[in-house]
Amino acid sequence: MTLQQILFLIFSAITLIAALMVVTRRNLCHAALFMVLSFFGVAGLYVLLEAPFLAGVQVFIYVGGISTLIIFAIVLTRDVVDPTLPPHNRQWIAGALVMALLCSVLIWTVLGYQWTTTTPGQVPADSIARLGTILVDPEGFLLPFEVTSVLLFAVLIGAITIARER
Amino acid sequence: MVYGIPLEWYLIVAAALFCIGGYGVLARRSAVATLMGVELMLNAININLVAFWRYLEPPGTTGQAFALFVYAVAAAEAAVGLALIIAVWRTHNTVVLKDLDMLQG
Amino acid sequence: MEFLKDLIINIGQWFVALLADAGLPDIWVQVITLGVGAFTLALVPLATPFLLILYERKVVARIADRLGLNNSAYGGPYGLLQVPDDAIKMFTKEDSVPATADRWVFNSAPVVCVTVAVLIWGVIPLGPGVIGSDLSIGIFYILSLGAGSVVAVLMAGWGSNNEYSLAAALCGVATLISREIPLVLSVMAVVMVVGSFSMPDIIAAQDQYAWFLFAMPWTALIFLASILSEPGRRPFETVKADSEVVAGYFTAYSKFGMFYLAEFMNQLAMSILFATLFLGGWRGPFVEQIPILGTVLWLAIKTLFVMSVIQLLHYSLPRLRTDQILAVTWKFLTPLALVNICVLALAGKTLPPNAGPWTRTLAFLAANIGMTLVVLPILAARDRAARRRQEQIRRAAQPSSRKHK
Repeated sequence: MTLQQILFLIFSAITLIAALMVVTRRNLCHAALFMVLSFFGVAGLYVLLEAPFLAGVQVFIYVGGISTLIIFAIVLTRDVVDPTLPPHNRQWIAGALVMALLCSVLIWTVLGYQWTTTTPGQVPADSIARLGTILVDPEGFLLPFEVTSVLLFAVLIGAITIARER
Repeated sequence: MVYGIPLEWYLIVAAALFCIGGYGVLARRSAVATLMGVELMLNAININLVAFWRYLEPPGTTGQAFALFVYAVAAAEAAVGLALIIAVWRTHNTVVLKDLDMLQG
Repeated sequence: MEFLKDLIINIGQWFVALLADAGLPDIWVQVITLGVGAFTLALVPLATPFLLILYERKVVARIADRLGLNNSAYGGPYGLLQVPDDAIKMFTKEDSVPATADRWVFNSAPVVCVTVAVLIWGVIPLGPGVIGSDLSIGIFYILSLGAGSVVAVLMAGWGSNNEYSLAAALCGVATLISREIPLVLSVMAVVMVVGSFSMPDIIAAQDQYAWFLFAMPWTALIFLASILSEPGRRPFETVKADSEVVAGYFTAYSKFGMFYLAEFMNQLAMSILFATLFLGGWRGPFVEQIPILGTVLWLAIKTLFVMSVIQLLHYSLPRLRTDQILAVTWKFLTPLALVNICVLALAGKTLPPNAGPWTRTLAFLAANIGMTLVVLPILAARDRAARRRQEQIRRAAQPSSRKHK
């Protein structure tokens, strides 16, 4: 067992157990906080994958942005959901079965395939600079990048229009 | 292998996370909880993208760039989704998905 | 003497040699050194508040025209013992948890708060070669840790299960998020000019310009304005507005010492961050010869200076309402930061690549002045128009309100 393997097991255990809590907790605010924990676990996995920038983005966007939004929504609508009702709907057994089946199929496929990755190369030191360049490179991802900014702009206006009080 | 961790480990974690998120989407009553399930699924996809980038083409940038686009779309989806939930809550005073069946006629 | 010149590095090397002589395997030497290093680094922000709180209380006393901490029975000479006294009192207080509180969330909120404040210190360069870890995403790591403190505020507000705490937490989070955008945009301007996230690179780049405070004053001002709300400093303090929302999101905590500690550590960290990004960090005369001067003299002076500015602002300015803070950050700082990035990018592009430090600094300064002349009148005119509209609305509403009486 190398140190990294142990770290991997810890991070994935955090991610998966917290994710299980997210989908089973009755108290939605607890679920959201476990979701934050799960996102931190995923950020740890990114660090192990030598993608520190993505780990930072993960914490920044998911924890700072999305989780906060979700907790706000929970707080604003908290009196609505009756806490004595079960946290799941009637199709939860069917859903669990389908997802367990899907999960086993996925794992079976992953383990059955011969991945040609015996010796992946090193991550170049200027990986972040390259990522920055490729995003605004006409040969790279300039068009998707601009489309994304249009999407975000549309979302900005759309979210305000939908949610504002009339 | 990177640091003695095979690619399969990451893929298995991602698959499990995806399925847990999917269960959340299928089985939760509250719309906000469903949205949380979707976020978990998107995270699973991102783990896959970054793992494939690291193990298959570390000098390239495609995997990371795709992950960044997923982030943007996830943020957009959360913002619009929660705005819709707030709007629905204002008009119908519920966020339970089962009760939102006005379109059934 | 030689040993003292580069004290911190030498102690580190001595420690490693000591462990290696003791016959430990390499991996253990590494693990122990890292552990001890991290522990020592974490002690710095946890211990310095004891001196700095004394300093702050003297500053506020001067502003209020009184003597402040002084010789007393418990305070000791010059009030030196007052802060340890307060700390002991704080930690021996009865620890009460509200009956309706969400125990787990309630109790873990202060821990998250302090952890985040300690973690910031991992990437701050304290001297030449003295840095917890020179991450390639250095400054971005600090920015993303800000997300952790947002979650801590929400946890404290929610966990207390009390209207005041929750309302204050929502206000506080709204402020923290709104200031995050100008903060990120101003840091982005620095990162764009330097071409790297790494903190030592940012310090090194300030040799090619003057200090960034002089090369890009607007960036520095936007940054200063947006770091104020993290430790809850006026004029951007609503995270804990004692007089309006009781004690903010930690109203229900009997032991709020952890929050105060975190706030103070944040203030210190933000001051060091400003000193690093805009005042050249540990750089100064004689650092080449005697590296320890960088830590104990230059960085300390610069940090104290920034902290004093923050404290003067805090104790002499009134507090803004939450909606006013949101208006300032969204309608003034954010557009300004966006324009700032564009202007600096243009200035950087038009410069010849072999320009000297003075040319670069002057070009950037000229760009900043040009920006001031164009952008400020526009924003001011918009603001005046908005105020006039509000005035009209208010006047239209007034007669009816009088009728009700």
